[in-house]
Amino acid sequence: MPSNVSLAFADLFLALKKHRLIHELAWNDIKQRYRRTVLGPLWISLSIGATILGLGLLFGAIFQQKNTSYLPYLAVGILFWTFISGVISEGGDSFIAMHNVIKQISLPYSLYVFRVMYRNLIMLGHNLAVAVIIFYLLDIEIWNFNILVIPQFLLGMVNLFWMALFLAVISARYRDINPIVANGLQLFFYLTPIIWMVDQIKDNHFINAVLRYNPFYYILTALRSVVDGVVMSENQMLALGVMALIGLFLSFIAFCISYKRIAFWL
Amino acid sequence: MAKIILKNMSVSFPIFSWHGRSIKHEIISYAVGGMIGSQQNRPTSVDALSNINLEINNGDRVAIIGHNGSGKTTLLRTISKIYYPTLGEIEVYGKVHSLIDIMLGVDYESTGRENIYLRGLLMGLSKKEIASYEEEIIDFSELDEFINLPMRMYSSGMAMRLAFAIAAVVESDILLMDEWLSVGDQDFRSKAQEKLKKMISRSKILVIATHDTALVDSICNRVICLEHGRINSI
Repeated sequence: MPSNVSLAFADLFLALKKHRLIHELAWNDIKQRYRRTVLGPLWISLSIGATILGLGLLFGAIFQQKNTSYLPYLAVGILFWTFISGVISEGGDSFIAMHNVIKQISLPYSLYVFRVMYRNLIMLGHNLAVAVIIFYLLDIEIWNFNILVIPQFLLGMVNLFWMALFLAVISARYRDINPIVANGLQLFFYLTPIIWMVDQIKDNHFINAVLRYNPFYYILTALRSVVDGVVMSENQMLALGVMALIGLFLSFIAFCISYKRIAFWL
Repeated sequence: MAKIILKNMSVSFPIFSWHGRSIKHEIISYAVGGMIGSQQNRPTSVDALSNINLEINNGDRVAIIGHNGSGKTTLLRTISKIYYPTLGEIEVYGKVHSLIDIMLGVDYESTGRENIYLRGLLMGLSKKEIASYEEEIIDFSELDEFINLPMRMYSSGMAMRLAFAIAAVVESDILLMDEWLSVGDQDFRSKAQEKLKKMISRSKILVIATHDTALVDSICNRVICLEHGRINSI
């Protein structure tokens, strides 16, 4: 009997080999969601756009920020946060939502996790494209490409992957995880510099401590850098790297342990 | 060569009580140190299959018979590597094609043509292979222009016809079926029967769970009777 570890490894490789299927399923998810709507996928961008505009005007006024600098900052933050929270919350649902397929066809489990990530990545790309165009029309530059940020972006993605895989496995077993995660994400939305900037509260010790141990701060900074081109400090990179290593290890162990049981839990 | 070997294989399902699935309860029962009720709330299990020894070889047409809940579908799912045995071993050599649920993964908002690709990819075909079968599938399902309409416009018979036509193009060594498939109206049914028989004759092994004794006599050369998860007679 193959051991759990080799099964789990084979699962990951097989899922990557089936990238065609991942691609097709993810696209179909998106098409399905907006079929028969006139605006189609533009609805995603529109609803996020409404959030950005509302928050932007309100907090721009509260913080007395110039809208030309605050609005792009907020927009990029919200777009990437939408991606992060999408991967995390839908990631936890990746097996449960597909339980009827999983019980009929033997496909690698991690395929469903990749599919969730890929689906959210498509939406992120789409939203970013719309945002860049709108800001370009408003004559505000938000796109600052910097090739040096690619490693940190990839590291951020690796961190999201292990979180999604880990949550997918444990929420199949414990059904309380999903609501916990949903609440946690709500909390982290405020604890992560999305609507506020780090500079505004850098003297506050409490916030500094929160930032230091907030994994999403590092992940968001890493991901959004593909747009704003901000290279992370060595310490931040180190935190991101260590988190990726430990996280991958832990989630892989959870995956191995439960591998043969997942189908029974669904 | 196709072969299925089951050695002392058991499959049991964990049952989670309402408590057993929640973290709150795990934490509380941890905190109270197994004093109150933690014992009876541990996940118990149902043995769906116990101690199965079986070897299925090339050319075998195996019928699995038994009451509801005797483990027929579980056995099929174990052979298709969805369930892993709790105890014992299973070895499967050859490509498995499952016809347990041919409507699986059908997206009713997508057109018939899109569903050909979706289903095809799910069943492990490459995009190129699907393209080469596309016309054959549309021809066989007799859907004509309907193929470009969303599947929610189809009658249930039409949807079944398309799903069957897609499932029928897959080449495999081992064919798994849960009850004999009968699809569509009178004319289509006989055509589908022909196709299904051809599929069976092409495949090296057939395992079918059924209640139909006439069917067993006509196509199967081995009968396995399951009772409460055990093989009763062969």
